Amino acid sequence: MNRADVVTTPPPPSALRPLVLPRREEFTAADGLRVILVEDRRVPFVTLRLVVRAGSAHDPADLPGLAALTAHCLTQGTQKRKSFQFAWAVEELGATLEAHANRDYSTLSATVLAENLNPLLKLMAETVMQPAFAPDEVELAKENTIQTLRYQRTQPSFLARERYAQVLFGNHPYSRIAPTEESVVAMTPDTLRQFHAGNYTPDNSLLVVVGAVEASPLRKALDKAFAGWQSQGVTHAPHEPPPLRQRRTVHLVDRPGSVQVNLLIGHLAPRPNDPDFLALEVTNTALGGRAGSRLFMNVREQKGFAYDVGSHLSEHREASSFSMSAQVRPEVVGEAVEEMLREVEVLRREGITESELDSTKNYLNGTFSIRLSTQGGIAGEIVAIEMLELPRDSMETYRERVRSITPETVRQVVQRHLFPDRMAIVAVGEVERIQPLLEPFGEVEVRPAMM
Amino acid sequence: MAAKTVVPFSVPFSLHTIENGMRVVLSEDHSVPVVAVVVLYDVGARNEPPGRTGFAHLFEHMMFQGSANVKKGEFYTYVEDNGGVLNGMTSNDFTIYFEVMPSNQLELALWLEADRMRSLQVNQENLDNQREVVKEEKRLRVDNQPFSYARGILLYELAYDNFANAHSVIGSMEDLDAATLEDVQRFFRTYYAPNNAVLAIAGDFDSEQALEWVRKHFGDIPPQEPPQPVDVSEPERKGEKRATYTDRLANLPAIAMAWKVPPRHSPERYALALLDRILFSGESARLHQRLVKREKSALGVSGGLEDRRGPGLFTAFVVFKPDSDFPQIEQSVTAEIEAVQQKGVTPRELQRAKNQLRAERYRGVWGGLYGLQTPLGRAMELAYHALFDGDPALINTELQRYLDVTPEEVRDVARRFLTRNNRTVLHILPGATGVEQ
Repeated sequence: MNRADVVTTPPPPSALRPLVLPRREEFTAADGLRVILVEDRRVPFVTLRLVVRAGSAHDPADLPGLAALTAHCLTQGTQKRKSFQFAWAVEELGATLEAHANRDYSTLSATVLAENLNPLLKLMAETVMQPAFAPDEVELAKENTIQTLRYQRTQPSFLARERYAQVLFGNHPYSRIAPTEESVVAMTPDTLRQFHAGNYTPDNSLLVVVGAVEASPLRKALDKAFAGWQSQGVTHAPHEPPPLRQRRTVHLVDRPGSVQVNLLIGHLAPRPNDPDFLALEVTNTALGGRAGSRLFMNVREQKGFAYDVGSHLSEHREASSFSMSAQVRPEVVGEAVEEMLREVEVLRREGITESELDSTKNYLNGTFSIRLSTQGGIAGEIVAIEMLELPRDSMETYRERVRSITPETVRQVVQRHLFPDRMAIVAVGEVERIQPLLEPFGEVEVRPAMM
Repeated sequence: MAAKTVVPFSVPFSLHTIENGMRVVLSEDHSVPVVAVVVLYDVGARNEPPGRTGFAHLFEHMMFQGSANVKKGEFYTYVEDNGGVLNGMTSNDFTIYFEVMPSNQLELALWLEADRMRSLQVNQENLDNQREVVKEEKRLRVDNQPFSYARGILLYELAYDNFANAHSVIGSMEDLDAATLEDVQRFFRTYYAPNNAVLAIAGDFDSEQALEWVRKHFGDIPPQEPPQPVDVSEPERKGEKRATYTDRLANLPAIAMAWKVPPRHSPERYALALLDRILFSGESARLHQRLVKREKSALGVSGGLEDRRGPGLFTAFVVFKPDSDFPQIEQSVTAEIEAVQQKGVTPRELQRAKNQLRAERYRGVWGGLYGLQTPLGRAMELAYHALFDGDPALINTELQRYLDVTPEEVRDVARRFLTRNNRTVLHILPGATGVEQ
């Protein structure tokens, strides 16, 4: 071949091959545990998520961090095995088993070699049905949580997220992203036991299994492992919604020695089951949800202000948030904020063109199939549908719903949901350097980093 | 436990070399209509001369700034507008680029990679712009994070004696400032040649069709004189090296240790990888049990085998509580290593480590992105084996090397390599202001 043969225009796509959506089988095991199975035999491996509808939003007001500490201690020993024996039993199977709480629910996540699934199920059942919450384990976990909290306070991203949640969510429990030292000190094995007993029940849980296993042997193993786990009719009433913002404000967190400013800019957004949510997600993707997005191309590729810049729409049951984020050098913080707010203004004024919308939709539909290429990705989609109360056929209809969004739909959701003049601007950095640059954007409030 | 059936798992592949010397590895799997394209270049921070640290990584950024038929910014949009994701990564050993696409867009990804391999076009403005972006990346990842510099850069500078191994991938601000457009052009000519790269494709595609496209788009890119090999040899460490660093962003003390170990294709690495799991992997691992659970002195323990194409390191990193101290933590880590050296490991403990290792192949060790479940994970693994080991079949056969390791071999690698004379110990003092200690 010679130079003349160099292809100068992008080659056209070949015929699209169909995406076979994961087929879900659903059944009830033992005494009321709902199970969703996707059989996946591409690798001899199984991925599991046992989700419990109790997260940090259900912490008692004076005990932030209780759901998280309960989840952590769940895997630190059972009534049959001390923590070392338990960890050993799990890891000997080539398995991982870990628990954590987010705002809306707690998750016991596991992965295991397919041949060891049944013994792992026994261990999972043991943790949720018979956790020990042994005093020495709880004491150690409390001590380490306090130390970790102090360590997190040295990380600018943590300080930004913490202040941002407080500003956005006000008195709603979503305003707390971490415990306080006082709340951790106040927790006892009994507080953990109560939280566990009141929330970790089959009617408040769901087990998602993706991997190399068939329904009938799985069900048999679950019937045996989870026998005797009793439902209690747990319900959690939703909280008062967080306040809507009326004006733009600036919230600085002082971090002496910072060589960058961590920025979070945004406000509340509709919940994931709101009819506007998907169109807003499409809009967010065009604005800052991918490398070719407006924020990336402007703030990073044109201006060179940041390595990492983008926007994000969070997905929570009771209230979501729309946020733009960037980490920039202090001297350009004013210009960077101006550019980010300007991009939202432009979106409000001019909307989105047909071709930008088409490419954004292609991106979302393409990455949807990439997500479904792993067991964890499939499990994550199913957990989101169930925990966020999305329509059951959300996965099946997703690509068609994305395709049906028009520039007009985008125009409407932008007008309804994105307001640059009402956003909270949170900035973590050296206050004396950045305060003068951020004063033009709204009333400034300053906090020291250590509280 | 009842007898269990272990389902065999292997990754099919074929290896080809096209006219200009580019190696191509193909691996079909039609379960999901997704395809991953990986281009792995045989160049990394190891190839940088003194005064140009950080250049290989800065150059990786330049690869997204435009080529003869793809303007600045269009690389991102061609991929994403067609439903794909992309990225690049630079390490000491290599630079890798990837696209994961809906499988009907394979030819587009190949065209994009070929266009920049043939005709990268950069100007002063783009170089200046990406220099600023990389400086922000350094501030974000290193200069503004507790422990990041000490653990991620200083430890390596101390532990390695050869500059090629010791200096960091991100480099220094001064060296980034010194980089010129001529450096970019020379680097491109020297290292970004088809005969200095491996292309791997995994996922839903037809091998014959893919090879035809590969030849069509890459076939006429001229090969270059192979670059000079880099001397990455390390002198033997003849005594312990110790240092202290005050981290102005940290409010807890930490200790970082490193021992020099052999390169990735050496016979000892299999036993070292299993020793890594025995000491570090999971909550039942020896160091977690001792430091976090029994002595309650550490918040967390991490580390293990970091193998490279050249000499690697075995590391340990412990963040500990203010009421403990350096001698105590150091003594505990040393005691656990000496226990392995003196008493060895139990067969059951070794079996546990082997099961963990088998599971990691599917799960992937970095958050699942690169496990053998995904087309991208398979493509990367095949490319690494092709370039570093000259044998992609290792993706299937190497597991047996791990499974064959005996308790005696684990004890022996601990005796040979995890010695006091071979180690570097770095004490990291908390220096954050305004923090109660």
